Amino acid sequence: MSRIHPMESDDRLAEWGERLRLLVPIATCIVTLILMSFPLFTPVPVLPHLPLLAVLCWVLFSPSLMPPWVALPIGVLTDAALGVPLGVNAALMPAAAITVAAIDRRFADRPFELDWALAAILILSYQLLSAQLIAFATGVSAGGSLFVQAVSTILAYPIVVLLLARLQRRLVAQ
Amino acid sequence: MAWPPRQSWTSFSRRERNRALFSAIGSALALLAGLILLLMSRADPAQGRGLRAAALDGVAPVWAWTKAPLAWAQGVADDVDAYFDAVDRVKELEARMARQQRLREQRDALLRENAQLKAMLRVVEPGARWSRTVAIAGASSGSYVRSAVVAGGRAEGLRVGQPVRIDDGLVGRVVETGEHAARVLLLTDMSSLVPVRVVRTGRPAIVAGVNEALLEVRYVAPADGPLRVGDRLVTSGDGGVFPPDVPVAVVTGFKGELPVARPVARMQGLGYVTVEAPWLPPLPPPPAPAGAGK
Repeated sequence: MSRIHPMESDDRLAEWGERLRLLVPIATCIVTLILMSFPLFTPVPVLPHLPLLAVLCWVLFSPSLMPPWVALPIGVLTDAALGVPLGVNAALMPAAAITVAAIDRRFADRPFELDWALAAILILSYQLLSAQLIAFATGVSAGGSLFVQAVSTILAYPIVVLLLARLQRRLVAQ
Repeated sequence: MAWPPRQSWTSFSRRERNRALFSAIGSALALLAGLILLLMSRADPAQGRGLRAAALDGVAPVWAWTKAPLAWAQGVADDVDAYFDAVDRVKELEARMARQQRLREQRDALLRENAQLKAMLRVVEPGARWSRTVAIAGASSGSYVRSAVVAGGRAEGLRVGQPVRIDDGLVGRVVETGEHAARVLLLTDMSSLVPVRVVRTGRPAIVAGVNEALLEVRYVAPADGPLRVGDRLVTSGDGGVFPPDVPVAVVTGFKGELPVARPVARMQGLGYVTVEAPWLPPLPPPPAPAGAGK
Protein backbone atom coordinates (compact mmCIF):
# COMPACT_ATOMS: atom_id res chain seq x y z
CA MET A 1 0.00 0.00 0.00
CA SER A 2 1.63 3.17 -1.17
CA ARG A 3 1.74 6.07 1.23
CA ILE A 4 2.65 8.61 -1.46
CA HIS A 5 -0.62 8.57 -3.36
CA PRO A 6 -3.95 9.23 -1.66
CA MET A 7 -5.65 5.96 -0.86
CA GLU A 8 -7.74 4.49 -3.66
CA SER A 9 -11.16 3.14 -2.72
CA ASP A 10 -9.95 -0.39 -3.49
CA ASP A 11 -7.14 0.09 -1.06
CA ARG A 12 -9.50 1.35 1.57
CA LEU A 13 -11.76 -1.64 1.06
CA ALA A 14 -8.77 -3.94 1.34
CA GLU A 15 -7.76 -2.23 4.55
CA TRP A 16 -11.22 -2.77 6.04
CA GLY A 17 -11.08 -6.38 4.92
CA GLU A 18 -7.76 -6.62 6.70
CA ARG A 19 -9.27 -5.34 9.93
CA LEU A 20 -12.32 -7.61 9.73
CA ARG A 21 -9.98 -10.54 9.19
CA LEU A 22 -8.66 -10.00 12.69
CA LEU A 23 -12.16 -10.43 14.13
CA VAL A 24 -12.85 -13.83 12.53
CA PRO A 25 -11.43 -15.90 15.44
CA ILE A 26 -13.43 -13.97 18.05
CA ALA A 27 -16.57 -14.17 15.90
CA THR A 28 -16.28 -17.95 15.57
CA CYS A 29 -15.88 -18.27 19.34
CA ILE A 30 -19.09 -16.28 19.91
CA VAL A 31 -20.96 -18.43 17.38
CA THR A 32 -19.84 -21.57 19.24
CA LEU A 33 -21.10 -20.01 22.49
CA ILE A 34 -24.58 -19.60 21.00
CA LEU A 35 -24.45 -23.19 19.71
CA MET A 36 -23.61 -24.35 23.24
CA SER A 37 -26.90 -23.01 24.59
CA PHE A 38 -28.96 -25.18 22.21
CA PRO A 39 -32.23 -26.02 24.00
CA LEU A 40 -31.54 -29.70 24.52
CA PHE A 41 -32.27 -31.08 27.98
CA THR A 42 -29.92 -33.87 28.86
CA PRO A 43 -29.05 -35.21 32.31
CA VAL A 44 -25.32 -34.62 31.71
CA PRO A 45 -23.53 -32.03 29.58
CA VAL A 46 -23.18 -33.88 26.27
CA LEU A 47 -22.35 -31.00 23.95
CA PRO A 48 -18.61 -30.68 23.30
CA HIS A 49 -16.88 -27.65 24.80
CA LEU A 50 -16.91 -25.84 21.44
CA PRO A 51 -15.50 -22.47 22.62
CA LEU A 52 -12.47 -24.30 24.01
CA LEU A 53 -11.98 -26.17 20.73
CA ALA A 54 -12.30 -22.91 18.78
CA VAL A 55 -9.68 -21.22 20.95
CA LEU A 56 -7.30 -24.20 20.60
CA CYS A 57 -7.72 -24.26 16.82
CA TRP A 58 -7.03 -20.55 16.43
CA VAL A 59 -3.95 -20.78 18.63
CA LEU A 60 -2.68 -23.48 16.27
CA PHE A 61 -3.72 -21.84 12.98
CA SER A 62 -3.00 -18.16 13.57
CA PRO A 63 -1.35 -17.67 16.96
CA SER A 64 -1.04 -13.92 16.39
CA LEU A 65 -4.85 -13.62 16.28
CA MET A 66 -5.47 -15.70 19.42
CA PRO A 67 -2.92 -14.67 22.06
CA PRO A 68 -3.77 -15.50 25.71
CA TRP A 69 -5.16 -12.01 26.34
CA VAL A 70 -7.81 -12.58 23.65
CA ALA A 71 -8.60 -15.99 25.15
CA LEU A 72 -9.33 -14.23 28.47
CA PRO A 73 -12.42 -12.24 27.34
CA ILE A 74 -13.67 -15.28 25.44
CA GLY A 75 -13.39 -17.28 28.66
CA VAL A 76 -15.31 -14.58 30.55
CA LEU A 77 -18.06 -14.63 27.90
CA THR A 78 -18.17 -18.44 28.07
CA ASP A 79 -18.66 -18.31 31.84
CA ALA A 80 -21.41 -15.71 31.50
CA ALA A 81 -23.27 -17.51 28.73
CA LEU A 82 -23.13 -20.98 30.27
CA GLY A 83 -23.95 -19.89 33.81
CA VAL A 84 -20.64 -21.10 35.25
CA PRO A 85 -19.02 -19.05 38.07
CA LEU A 86 -17.11 -16.18 36.44
CA GLY A 87 -13.42 -17.02 36.28
CA VAL A 88 -13.50 -20.76 35.62
CA ASN A 89 -13.13 -20.62 31.85
CA ALA A 90 -11.64 -17.13 32.13
CA ALA A 91 -8.64 -18.57 34.00
CA LEU A 92 -8.39 -21.85 32.09
CA MET A 93 -8.66 -20.56 28.53
CA PRO A 94 -5.55 -18.33 28.67
CA ALA A 95 -3.74 -21.21 30.41
CA ALA A 96 -4.79 -23.57 27.60
CA ALA A 97 -3.70 -21.03 24.98
CA ILE A 98 -0.28 -20.67 26.62
CA THR A 99 0.11 -24.46 26.87
CA VAL A 100 -0.88 -25.08 23.26
CA ALA A 101 1.45 -22.38 21.98
CA ALA A 102 4.32 -23.93 23.96
CA ILE A 103 3.55 -27.45 22.72
CA ASP A 104 3.18 -26.18 19.17
CA ARG A 105 6.70 -24.72 19.30
CA ARG A 106 8.21 -27.89 20.74
CA PHE A 107 6.68 -30.41 18.33
CA ALA A 108 6.65 -28.37 15.14
CA ASP A 109 6.15 -31.14 12.55
CA ARG A 110 3.74 -33.61 14.01
CA PRO A 111 1.26 -36.00 12.42
CA PHE A 112 -2.44 -35.36 13.05
CA GLU A 113 -2.73 -38.43 15.29
CA LEU A 114 -0.19 -36.98 17.72
CA ASP A 115 -1.98 -33.66 17.47
CA TRP A 116 -5.25 -35.32 18.46
CA ALA A 117 -3.63 -37.26 21.30
CA LEU A 118 -2.07 -34.07 22.71
CA ALA A 119 -5.41 -32.28 22.37
CA ALA A 120 -7.11 -35.18 24.19
CA ILE A 121 -4.70 -34.89 27.12
CA LEU A 122 -5.19 -31.14 27.20
CA ILE A 123 -9.00 -31.41 27.09
CA LEU A 124 -9.10 -34.03 29.84
CA SER A 125 -6.90 -31.91 32.10
CA TYR A 126 -8.99 -28.84 31.22
CA GLN A 127 -12.21 -30.56 32.35
CA LEU A 128 -10.57 -31.98 35.49
CA LEU A 129 -9.24 -28.53 36.40
CA SER A 130 -12.55 -26.84 35.68
CA ALA A 131 -14.30 -29.33 37.99
CA GLN A 132 -11.76 -28.33 40.65
CA LEU A 133 -12.24 -24.61 40.02
CA ILE A 134 -16.04 -24.94 40.07
CA ALA A 135 -15.79 -26.76 43.39
CA PHE A 136 -13.45 -23.99 44.60
CA ALA A 137 -15.80 -21.18 43.51
CA THR A 138 -19.16 -22.66 44.53
CA GLY A 139 -18.21 -25.10 47.28
CA VAL A 140 -20.28 -27.80 45.53
CA SER A 141 -18.60 -30.63 43.62
CA ALA A 142 -19.64 -30.86 39.98
CA GLY A 143 -19.22 -34.62 40.08
CA GLY A 144 -18.18 -36.69 37.11
CA SER A 145 -20.54 -34.96 34.71
CA LEU A 146 -17.75 -32.97 33.09
CA PHE A 147 -16.04 -36.21 32.07
CA VAL A 148 -18.82 -36.94 29.56
CA GLN A 149 -18.23 -33.54 28.05
CA ALA A 150 -14.48 -34.21 27.89
CA VAL A 151 -15.15 -37.35 25.83
CA SER A 152 -17.51 -35.58 23.44
CA THR A 153 -15.04 -32.70 23.10
CA ILE A 154 -12.22 -35.08 22.20
CA LEU A 155 -14.45 -36.77 19.61
CA ALA A 156 -15.45 -33.42 18.15
CA TYR A 157 -11.86 -32.20 17.84
CA PRO A 158 -11.13 -33.49 14.29
CA ILE A 159 -14.41 -32.08 12.93
CA VAL A 160 -13.86 -28.66 14.44
CA VAL A 161 -10.26 -28.62 13.21
CA LEU A 162 -11.44 -29.50 9.70
CA LEU A 163 -14.13 -26.79 9.65
CA LEU A 164 -12.03 -24.05 11.19
CA ALA A 165 -9.01 -24.92 9.00
CA ARG A 166 -11.22 -24.41 5.97
CA LEU A 167 -12.48 -21.12 7.39
CA GLN A 168 -8.96 -20.03 8.17
CA ARG A 169 -7.76 -20.76 4.62
CA ARG A 170 -10.64 -18.85 3.04
CA LEU A 171 -10.96 -15.85 5.32
CA VAL A 172 -7.90 -15.34 7.43
CA ALA A 173 -4.79 -16.50 5.60
CA GLN A 174 -3.37 -13.85 3.27
CA MET B 1 6.62 -15.04 19.94
CA ALA B 2 9.10 -17.71 20.81
CA TRP B 3 11.95 -16.88 23.10
CA PRO B 4 14.82 -17.05 20.68
CA PRO B 5 17.68 -19.40 21.60
CA ARG B 6 20.64 -17.68 23.22
CA GLN B 7 23.10 -18.12 20.33
CA SER B 8 20.93 -16.33 17.85
CA TRP B 9 20.17 -13.30 20.01
CA THR B 10 22.58 -11.18 18.08
CA SER B 11 20.72 -11.83 14.86
CA PHE B 12 17.39 -10.73 16.35
CA SER B 13 16.58 -7.11 16.51
CA ARG B 14 15.83 -5.44 19.82
CA ARG B 15 12.29 -4.99 18.60
CA GLU B 16 11.84 -8.73 18.21
CA ARG B 17 13.08 -9.36 21.72
CA ASN B 18 10.81 -6.72 23.16
CA ARG B 19 7.87 -8.27 21.41
CA ALA B 20 8.61 -11.68 22.94
CA LEU B 21 8.92 -10.06 26.35
CA PHE B 22 5.61 -8.17 26.00
CA SER B 23 3.90 -11.32 24.81
CA ALA B 24 5.13 -13.25 27.85
CA ILE B 25 4.02 -10.47 30.21
CA GLY B 26 0.65 -10.21 28.46
CA SER B 27 0.07 -13.96 28.78
CA ALA B 28 0.94 -13.91 32.46
CA LEU B 29 -1.38 -10.94 33.06
CA ALA B 30 -4.26 -12.66 31.23
CA LEU B 31 -3.82 -15.77 33.35
CA LEU B 32 -3.63 -13.66 36.50
CA ALA B 33 -6.78 -11.72 35.58
CA GLY B 34 -8.66 -14.99 35.12
CA LEU B 35 -7.57 -16.27 38.52
CA ILE B 36 -8.52 -12.96 40.19
CA LEU B 37 -12.00 -13.22 38.61
CA LEU B 38 -12.28 -16.73 40.04
CA LEU B 39 -11.32 -15.54 43.52
CA MET B 40 -13.85 -12.73 43.25
CA SER B 41 -16.64 -15.10 42.26
CA ARG B 42 -15.78 -17.31 45.23
CA ALA B 43 -16.13 -14.28 47.48
CA ASP B 44 -19.32 -13.06 45.80
CA PRO B 45 -21.13 -15.63 43.64
CA ALA B 46 -23.46 -12.95 42.28
CA GLN B 47 -20.67 -10.91 40.68
CA GLY B 48 -20.92 -10.11 37.01
CA ARG B 49 -24.69 -10.03 37.17
CA GLY B 50 -24.87 -7.41 34.42
CA LEU B 51 -22.60 -9.42 32.13
CA ARG B 52 -24.61 -12.58 32.72
CA ALA B 53 -27.85 -10.74 32.00
CA ALA B 54 -26.37 -9.36 28.76
CA ALA B 55 -25.22 -12.84 27.74
CA LEU B 56 -28.72 -14.21 28.38
CA ASP B 57 -30.26 -11.44 26.29
CA GLY B 58 -27.79 -12.21 23.50
CA VAL B 59 -28.35 -15.95 23.41
CA ALA B 60 -32.12 -16.23 23.91
CA PRO B 61 -33.34 -14.47 20.72
CA VAL B 62 -31.27 -16.72 18.47
CA TRP B 63 -33.00 -19.86 19.67
CA ALA B 64 -36.37 -18.13 19.94
CA TRP B 65 -36.13 -17.32 16.21
CA THR B 66 -34.83 -20.68 15.09
CA LYS B 67 -37.47 -22.38 17.22
CA ALA B 68 -40.21 -22.67 14.60
CA PRO B 69 -38.59 -25.17 12.19
CA LEU B 70 -37.07 -27.14 15.07
CA ALA B 71 -40.44 -27.39 16.82
CA TRP B 72 -41.97 -28.57 13.55
CA ALA B 73 -39.31 -31.24 13.13
CA GLN B 74 -39.81 -32.40 16.69
CA GLY B 75 -43.58 -32.55 16.15
CA VAL B 76 -43.12 -34.75 13.06
CA ALA B 77 -40.73 -37.03 14.94
CA ASP B 78 -43.22 -37.33 17.81
CA ASP B 79 -46.06 -38.14 15.37
CA VAL B 80 -44.03 -40.89 13.71
CA ASP B 81 -43.12 -42.23 17.12
CA ALA B 82 -46.74 -42.20 18.29
CA TYR B 83 -47.93 -44.00 15.15
CA PHE B 84 -46.08 -47.21 15.92
CA ASP B 85 -47.79 -48.16 19.15
CA ALA B 86 -51.05 -46.37 18.49
CA VAL B 87 -53.35 -49.37 19.06
CA ASP B 88 -51.82 -50.37 22.38
CA ARG B 89 -51.88 -46.82 23.54
CA VAL B 90 -55.55 -46.28 22.65
CA LYS B 91 -56.50 -49.39 24.64
CA GLU B 92 -54.42 -48.29 27.59
CA LEU B 93 -55.85 -44.79 27.50
CA GLU B 94 -59.44 -46.03 27.36
CA ALA B 95 -58.86 -48.24 30.38
CA ARG B 96 -57.25 -45.35 32.18
CA MET B 97 -60.13 -43.04 31.32
CA ALA B 98 -62.62 -45.44 32.85
CA ARG B 99 -60.53 -45.63 36.03
CA GLN B 100 -60.14 -41.91 36.20
CA GLN B 101 -63.81 -41.19 35.67
CA ARG B 102 -64.46 -42.83 39.06
CA LEU B 103 -61.60 -40.94 40.65
CA ARG B 104 -62.89 -37.66 39.22
CA GLU B 105 -66.30 -38.17 40.80
CA GLN B 106 -64.67 -38.85 44.16
CA ARG B 107 -62.45 -35.81 43.70
CA ASP B 108 -65.39 -33.52 42.93
CA ALA B 109 -67.12 -34.69 46.07
CA LEU B 110 -63.96 -34.13 48.12
CA LEU B 111 -63.42 -30.67 46.64
CA ARG B 112 -66.95 -29.67 47.62
CA GLU B 113 -66.47 -31.05 51.10
CA ASN B 114 -63.09 -29.33 51.39
CA ALA B 115 -64.55 -25.99 50.31
CA GLN B 116 -67.28 -26.34 52.93
CA LEU B 117 -64.77 -27.20 55.65
CA LYS B 118 -62.51 -24.32 54.67
CA ALA B 119 -65.46 -21.97 54.75
CA MET B 120 -66.37 -23.21 58.26
CA LEU B 121 -62.77 -22.70 59.45
CA ARG B 122 -62.38 -19.34 57.65
CA VAL B 123 -59.04 -20.38 56.04
CA VAL B 124 -57.19 -17.43 54.49
CA GLU B 125 -55.44 -18.20 51.19
CA PRO B 126 -53.44 -15.96 48.87
CA GLY B 127 -55.74 -14.61 46.18
CA ALA B 128 -55.34 -14.16 42.44
CA ARG B 129 -51.74 -14.35 41.43
CA TRP B 130 -49.55 -13.03 38.68
CA SER B 131 -48.31 -15.51 36.10
CA ARG B 132 -46.75 -15.39 32.68
CA THR B 133 -46.16 -17.96 29.94
CA VAL B 134 -42.79 -17.79 28.20
CA ALA B 135 -41.04 -19.84 25.54
CA ILE B 136 -37.93 -21.87 26.26
CA ALA B 137 -35.04 -20.36 24.31
CA GLY B 138 -31.99 -22.28 25.36
CA ALA B 139 -30.46 -24.74 27.77
CA SER B 140 -27.16 -25.31 29.43
CA SER B 141 -26.58 -28.55 27.58
CA GLY B 142 -22.95 -27.55 27.29
CA SER B 143 -22.27 -26.84 30.93
CA TYR B 144 -22.48 -28.56 34.27
CA VAL B 145 -25.29 -26.22 35.37
CA ARG B 146 -28.72 -27.69 34.70
CA SER B 147 -30.65 -24.67 33.59
CA ALA B 148 -32.94 -23.41 30.87
CA VAL B 149 -33.07 -20.01 29.23
CA VAL B 150 -36.56 -18.58 28.69
CA ALA B 151 -37.54 -15.78 26.34
CA GLY B 152 -38.85 -13.39 28.96
CA GLY B 153 -37.01 -11.16 31.40
CA ARG B 154 -37.35 -8.16 33.69
CA ALA B 155 -39.34 -6.29 31.03
CA GLU B 156 -41.93 -9.09 31.14
CA GLY B 157 -42.08 -9.00 34.93
CA LEU B 158 -39.82 -11.98 35.68
CA ARG B 159 -37.83 -11.71 38.90
CA VAL B 160 -35.28 -13.91 40.62
CA GLY B 161 -36.93 -16.49 42.87
CA GLN B 162 -40.17 -16.99 40.97
CA PRO B 163 -41.32 -20.61 40.57
CA VAL B 164 -41.56 -22.03 37.05
CA ARG B 165 -43.90 -24.85 36.05
CA ILE B 166 -45.64 -26.51 33.15
CA ASP B 167 -49.12 -28.06 33.37
CA ASP B 168 -47.72 -31.45 34.39
CA GLY B 169 -45.56 -30.24 37.21
CA LEU B 170 -42.78 -28.14 38.63
CA VAL B 171 -39.84 -27.15 36.41
CA GLY B 172 -37.67 -25.03 38.68
CA ARG B 173 -37.17 -21.40 39.63
CA VAL B 174 -35.79 -18.21 38.09
CA VAL B 175 -32.18 -17.54 39.13
CA GLU B 176 -30.98 -14.84 36.72
CA THR B 177 -32.86 -12.22 34.76
CA GLY B 178 -31.85 -10.24 31.70
CA GLU B 179 -33.97 -7.59 30.04
CA HIS B 180 -35.80 -10.07 27.76
CA ALA B 181 -34.40 -13.40 28.90
CA ALA B 182 -34.03 -15.28 32.16
CA ARG B 183 -32.26 -18.38 33.41
CA VAL B 184 -34.32 -21.07 35.13
CA LEU B 185 -32.58 -23.46 37.50
CA LEU B 186 -34.00 -26.93 36.83
CA LEU B 187 -34.96 -29.45 39.52
CA THR B 188 -32.10 -31.69 38.40
CA ASP B 189 -29.41 -29.09 39.15
CA MET B 190 -27.32 -29.98 42.15
CA SER B 191 -28.13 -26.70 43.88
CA SER B 192 -31.89 -27.24 43.60
CA LEU B 193 -33.77 -28.21 46.77
CA VAL B 194 -37.57 -28.40 46.83
CA PRO B 195 -39.65 -29.04 49.95
CA VAL B 196 -42.21 -31.71 49.08
CA ARG B 197 -44.94 -33.78 50.66
CA VAL B 198 -45.39 -37.50 50.07
CA VAL B 199 -48.96 -37.84 48.81
CA ARG B 200 -49.51 -41.31 50.34
CA THR B 201 -48.40 -40.37 53.86
CA GLY B 202 -48.76 -36.60 53.84
CA ARG B 203 -45.32 -36.28 55.45
CA PRO B 204 -42.61 -33.83 54.33
CA ALA B 205 -39.33 -34.53 52.54
CA ILE B 206 -36.82 -32.67 50.41
CA VAL B 207 -36.20 -33.36 46.73
CA ALA B 208 -32.65 -32.54 45.70
CA GLY B 209 -31.06 -32.44 42.25
CA VAL B 210 -27.74 -34.23 41.73
CA ASN B 211 -26.98 -33.23 38.10
CA GLU B 212 -28.39 -36.52 36.91
CA ALA B 213 -31.64 -37.51 35.28
CA LEU B 214 -33.15 -38.63 38.59
CA LEU B 215 -33.65 -36.65 41.81
CA GLU B 216 -32.77 -37.74 45.33
CA VAL B 217 -35.40 -37.72 48.07
CA ARG B 218 -33.84 -36.67 51.37
CA TYR B 219 -34.92 -36.24 54.98
CA VAL B 220 -37.80 -38.71 54.89
CA ALA B 221 -38.69 -39.12 58.55
CA PRO B 222 -37.87 -42.75 59.47
CA ALA B 223 -41.01 -43.01 61.58
CA ASP B 224 -43.14 -42.65 58.46
CA GLY B 225 -41.86 -45.91 57.05
CA PRO B 226 -39.87 -46.16 53.83
CA LEU B 227 -41.08 -44.67 50.59
CA ARG B 228 -42.39 -47.08 47.99
CA VAL B 229 -41.77 -47.14 44.29
CA GLY B 230 -44.57 -45.14 42.70
CA ASP B 231 -45.02 -42.72 45.59
CA ARG B 232 -45.93 -39.30 44.27
CA LEU B 233 -44.24 -36.19 45.63
CA VAL B 234 -45.93 -32.79 45.43
CA THR B 235 -44.72 -29.41 46.62
CA SER B 236 -45.58 -28.72 50.24
CA GLY B 237 -45.51 -24.92 50.00
CA ASP B 238 -42.93 -24.78 52.79
CA GLY B 239 -40.48 -21.95 52.30
CA GLY B 240 -43.07 -19.89 50.50
CA VAL B 241 -41.51 -20.05 47.02
CA PHE B 242 -43.31 -22.95 45.38
CA PRO B 243 -47.10 -23.10 45.57
CA PRO B 244 -48.37 -26.23 47.37
CA ASP B 245 -49.64 -29.36 45.61
CA VAL B 246 -47.76 -28.99 42.33
CA PRO B 247 -46.56 -32.45 41.21
CA VAL B 248 -42.77 -32.68 41.47
CA ALA B 249 -41.61 -36.26 41.07
CA VAL B 250 -42.47 -39.94 41.32
CA VAL B 251 -40.30 -42.36 43.29
CA THR B 252 -38.79 -44.86 40.84
CA GLY B 253 -36.31 -46.81 42.91
CA PHE B 254 -33.55 -46.74 45.45
CA LYS B 255 -29.88 -45.84 45.22
CA GLY B 256 -28.56 -47.70 48.24
CA GLU B 257 -30.78 -46.46 51.06
CA LEU B 258 -31.74 -43.23 49.34
CA PRO B 259 -34.98 -43.12 47.32
CA VAL B 260 -34.61 -41.61 43.85
CA ALA B 261 -37.43 -40.00 41.91
CA ARG B 262 -38.11 -39.03 38.31
CA PRO B 263 -39.27 -35.44 37.73
CA VAL B 264 -42.87 -35.27 36.56
CA ALA B 265 -42.29 -32.33 34.21
CA ARG B 266 -40.41 -33.61 31.20
CA MET B 267 -38.54 -30.73 29.68
CA GLN B 268 -39.23 -30.73 25.98
CA GLY B 269 -36.60 -28.63 24.28
CA LEU B 270 -38.93 -26.21 22.60
CA GLY B 271 -42.02 -25.84 24.72
CA TYR B 272 -43.48 -23.16 26.92
CA VAL B 273 -43.35 -22.75 30.68
CA THR B 274 -45.39 -20.72 33.12
CA VAL B 275 -43.67 -18.39 35.55
CA GLU B 276 -45.64 -17.51 38.67
CA ALA B 277 -45.23 -15.08 41.51
CA PRO B 278 -43.67 -16.67 44.62
CA TRP B 279 -46.38 -18.44 46.66
CA LEU B 280 -46.00 -16.06 49.59
CA PRO B 281 -44.70 -12.51 49.37
CA PRO B 282 -41.15 -12.27 50.76
CA LEU B 283 -41.21 -11.73 54.52
CA PRO B 284 -39.78 -8.50 55.90
CA PRO B 285 -36.34 -9.01 57.50
CA PRO B 286 -36.61 -9.97 61.17
CA PRO B 287 -36.14 -7.04 63.58
CA ALA B 288 -32.64 -6.86 65.03
CA PRO B 289 -32.58 -8.45 68.47
CA ALA B 290 -32.48 -5.82 71.22
CA GLY B 291 -29.36 -7.33 72.81
CA ALA B 292 -27.34 -7.38 69.55
CA GLY B 293 -23.78 -6.16 69.95
CA LYS B 294 -23.91 -6.74 73.73
